[in-house]
Amino acid sequence: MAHTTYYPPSGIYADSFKKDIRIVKTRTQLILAVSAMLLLVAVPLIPGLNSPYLLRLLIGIGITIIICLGLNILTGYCGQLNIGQSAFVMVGAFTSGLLNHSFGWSFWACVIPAGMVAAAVGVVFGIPSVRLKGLYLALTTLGAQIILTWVALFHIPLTSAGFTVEPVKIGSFYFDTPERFYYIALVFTAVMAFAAKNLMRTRWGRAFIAVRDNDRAAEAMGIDIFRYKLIAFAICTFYAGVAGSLLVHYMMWAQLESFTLNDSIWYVVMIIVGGLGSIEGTIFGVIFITALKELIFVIGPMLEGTLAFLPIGAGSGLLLVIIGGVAIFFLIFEPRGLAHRWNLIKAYYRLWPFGY
Amino acid sequence: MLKLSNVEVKYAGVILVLRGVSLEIRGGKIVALLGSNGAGKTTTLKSISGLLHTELGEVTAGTIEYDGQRIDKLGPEEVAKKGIIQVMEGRQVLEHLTVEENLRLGGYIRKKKSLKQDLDMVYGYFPKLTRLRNSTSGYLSGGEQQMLAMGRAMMAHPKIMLLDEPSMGLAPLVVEEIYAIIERFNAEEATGILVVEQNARAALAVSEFAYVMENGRVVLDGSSAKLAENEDIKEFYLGLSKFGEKRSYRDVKHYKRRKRWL
Amino acid sequence: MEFLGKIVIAGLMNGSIYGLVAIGFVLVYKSSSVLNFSQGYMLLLGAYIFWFFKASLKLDLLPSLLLALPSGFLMGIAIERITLRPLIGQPLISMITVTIFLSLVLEGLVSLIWGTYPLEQITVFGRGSGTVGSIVLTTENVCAFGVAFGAMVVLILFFRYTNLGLAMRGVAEGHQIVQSMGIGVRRIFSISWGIAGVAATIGGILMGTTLGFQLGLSHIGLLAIPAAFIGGLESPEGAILGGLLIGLIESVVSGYLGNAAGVPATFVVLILVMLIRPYGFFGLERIERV
Repeated sequence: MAHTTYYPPSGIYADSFKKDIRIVKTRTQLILAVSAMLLLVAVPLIPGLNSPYLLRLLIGIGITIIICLGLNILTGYCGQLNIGQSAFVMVGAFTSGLLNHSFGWSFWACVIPAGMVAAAVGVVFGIPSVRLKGLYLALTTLGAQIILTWVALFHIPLTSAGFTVEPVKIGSFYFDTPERFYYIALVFTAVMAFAAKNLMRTRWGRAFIAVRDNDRAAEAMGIDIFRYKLIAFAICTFYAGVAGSLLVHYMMWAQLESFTLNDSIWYVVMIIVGGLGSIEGTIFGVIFITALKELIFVIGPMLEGTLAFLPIGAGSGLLLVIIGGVAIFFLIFEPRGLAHRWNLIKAYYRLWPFGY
Repeated sequence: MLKLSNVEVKYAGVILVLRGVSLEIRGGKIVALLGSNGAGKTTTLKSISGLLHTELGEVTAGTIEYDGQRIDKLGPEEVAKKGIIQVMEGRQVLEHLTVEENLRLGGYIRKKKSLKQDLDMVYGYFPKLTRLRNSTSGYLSGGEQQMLAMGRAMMAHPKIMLLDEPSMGLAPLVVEEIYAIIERFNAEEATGILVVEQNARAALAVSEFAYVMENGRVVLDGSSAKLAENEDIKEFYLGLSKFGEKRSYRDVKHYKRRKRWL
Repeated sequence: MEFLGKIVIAGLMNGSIYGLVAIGFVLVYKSSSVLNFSQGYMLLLGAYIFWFFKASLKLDLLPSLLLALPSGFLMGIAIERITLRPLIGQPLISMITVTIFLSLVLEGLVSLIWGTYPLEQITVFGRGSGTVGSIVLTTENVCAFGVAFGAMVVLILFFRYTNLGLAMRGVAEGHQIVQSMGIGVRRIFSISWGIAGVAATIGGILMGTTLGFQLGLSHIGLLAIPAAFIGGLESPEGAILGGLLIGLIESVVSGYLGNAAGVPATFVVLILVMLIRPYGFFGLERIERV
């Protein structure tokens, strides 16, 4: 999937395995990473950038990145298609919300259980992967979406109507405004992204890739493919659960409508556009697609007014056409995702001016 | 007559695989193309059949002519319609289709009326396939799949058949059987055959003329009988030296034969 | 008993339409291994095109059909030509994603031209109805059923006995092999998308007459996906049987356990069935020679 030739920076040799798997290999990378982090930390303090709208957008992007990181571990690295991710986000969200609403647990006590419950449910829906392969597995995850939504809608009175959830707090300090919650989201996103990047250079990560690339060969090498598929499902849905927990405590309101099949499909689209099997790609993809979607909601209603001669709904229709069209064009020119392009740019930069 | 003159092939615009290959196949003759792995034999075949275009390859210099017309820019399906059919390496059958369905597809470019007759002809050459006509081709044995792949090409009544390593991974007995059929098909249907082989002995035995490739070039050619007597061919492709004498380690130490054409 | 009969009939009627839509999935999947997520929206567009001929231009049933079905064919070909052809040879998952975006474009196109409100209801097959025992059958139901079965039989024969059908099956197995036999892969792609467009249009017309011409028609795609899966992604007969089965389960469960339980219950049953038959009823198993 993401088979991009890797050009190491010139002069950087990996003469031991430990060096080869290092995440940060050069000083430039370190400087860039640290400065990016500092910039992100400073965003709420910079006038002009710190509008609530932008911060809310960034928080949304952060939470979506966590969701998609999990999905990319399962789909991109382990090769198991999941088109029901938002249902697992919902499980995490409702677990966390209910623990808070009914038992008064704080966010910090809820977030891990939320991830665990989502992971447990995820493993149950991962069991069919022992028999189903490829696209056929999409059916079970689609089923997960529909069945879980149905359970939440008709069998748990609280979740069908929606309920309030307390914001995150430390001591008596409430993270209830976008500026404050931004930091929670930033910390969680950074930690989860680092964990994902790290996971992929462990034994488990390599096993996932082996299962994806050739399950028969992986089995012949002594990898218990069923076990690793379930682990991947558990990790994927754990990420979803944590993100769900963050989401309800940020919105301070838990409702079913935030977790639809459409969302699930968008998550898949994000990781594909970003690049399957790439942590950086996940981040690019989420940002790119979120920006596209934001256009629909901002420009759509504006167009509606000026195009009054067309039938009702035509403005948003036109935008759908434009956005779908842009995305299709994008895929035609960059079918391997943004991460591929990113690597090409890096390679170009490293080989310049002798790149050929 | 199929004629390659000075053909150069690049993959993806950067990897130079063929560096000027020239060869000729006259109608009704069997020609062998020998060489080790990576010499460019398969690429030569693909450049003829047009399959190159499906894998980012391109003929960047030289020409491929068939009966005086250039075919190096044509897509694979047009080349096939001209009567040049390639049998790909590694027993490529359409797995989920039955044997007979595979064969019927082979006759896709022929008129529908002759289907029955064509099928009978192929079953005549490969009696084994008759029994298997309704079984799923993915479950056949290696030899049977190779026969099926060749039979499928025969269905099109090719003027020239490009055979890519028909002996790959098959037992010696099966190889013999397959080469016997190649000879018979050539004799009876007057089809020109270009056979690419690692198994030089088998290929030299049936062919009239042979080319040896190395590093994307033709380094040696001549009538097959003559090549089979060539010292270098014996040493490097037939595994014989000094007329079949056993080799002792002492000789190896003293004198390592060099390929003279390099 | 009468109640059961009623819901069984209703289930079979709906199911045959699911089946028809599923056939569209199967056709495209069979030749190109692409799971076409935009099938539901092709159905929508096809239905609206028919509505345009029938209601806006006020043509009779037959001329409208004669215009709508070729339009459906052209719709399929145009989609293939513009969006999927440039991606031949690229990772499959990119092609599948393109179909997701395609559904946005198609939905946008429909709401751009016709707006987002349901269109005016039109009668298509007349308002006839008959009874079998105590069960009422409308003309539309019978037509849907008949068309679905007709399409299934035609397609089975097509794939088994015609050269073009065989070539389509061949293309699904390996592009190079069939190209080396003189079969144009691109032409085959075009034709299979064209037929999928026709199948979608027929399904859209049938759905439109029973449910009304509205944007919600695209959701049929949701139930047609499992129909295609359970029947086996490569098999037209499987698609129809899968459609019927799903229609049946949905209708029986909704009848006895309440409306909302239908779809989830269908999925529960499906997942269990798929555990026993991972390639659906008639799907092709992956042949592995280790």
